[in-house]
Amino acid sequence: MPGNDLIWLALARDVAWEQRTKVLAKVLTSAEREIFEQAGDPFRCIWAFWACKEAAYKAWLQMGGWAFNNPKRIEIKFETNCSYGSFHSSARISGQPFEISGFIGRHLLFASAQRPGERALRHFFFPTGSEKAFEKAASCYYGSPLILRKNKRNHPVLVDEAGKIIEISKSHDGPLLAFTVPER
Amino acid sequence: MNKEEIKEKVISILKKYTRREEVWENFNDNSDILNDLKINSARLVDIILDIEDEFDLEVDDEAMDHIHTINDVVEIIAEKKAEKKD
Repeated sequence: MPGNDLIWLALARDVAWEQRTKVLAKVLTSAEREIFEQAGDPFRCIWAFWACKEAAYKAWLQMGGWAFNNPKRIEIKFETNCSYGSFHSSARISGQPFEISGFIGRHLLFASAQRPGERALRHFFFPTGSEKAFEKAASCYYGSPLILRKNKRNHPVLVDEAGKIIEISKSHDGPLLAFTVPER
Repeated sequence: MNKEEIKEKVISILKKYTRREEVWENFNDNSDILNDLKINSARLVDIILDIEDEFDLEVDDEAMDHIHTINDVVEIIAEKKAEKKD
């Protein structure tokens, strides 16, 4: 049950979260705040934390967790540096562990989360509004026609002709859509 | 300030963060901020900070968890305002 999050950094730049102490107090736990204070690139660091939290939260909802808004309920621990390139981190929500991986680029930051031991994940990136193109790519990837739907809990899923459901994650920011699916 | 006045201010804050004008054609007090108004979850943090500034109060972590609809925001503000008066 994957979760993902995509941050288009040009849009994130406008809100300047890294400079606003009230935002940091609302979003980061005290342990995360210490890592943030030492980060070489505070802008990318706060958004890396956010993307990890959001990805873990979506995975949490997919597994039937309750909805909440307080980002500090999600504790992030970076296993690698939160600077340019790929990173690995882990999250805990109400004692439940999640593994996170992602990358920090020049224009884009992306994170995906899953429960330990779950099947590896695959990611698809498309321009905004390309849901049909994703359906086509996913159908090709899994080898059978699939339709993108929302389940009863309003989460995105792929459904095949026999009604079999594949739980996926979708995020959108700026000009991009990201989909994360379990490997076939 | 009564609840209608609070609601009016809350809606003007929310409008700053909605990307699609059409979500306001069919909203009501129970419209879900993230799902119905299509507001990005990161923007919810900015909305809460705007509310704190506008109404001169603090939305604590517990109250934050109870914010789902427009009505939830109005109720929390009314409650916090009443607490401040006492």
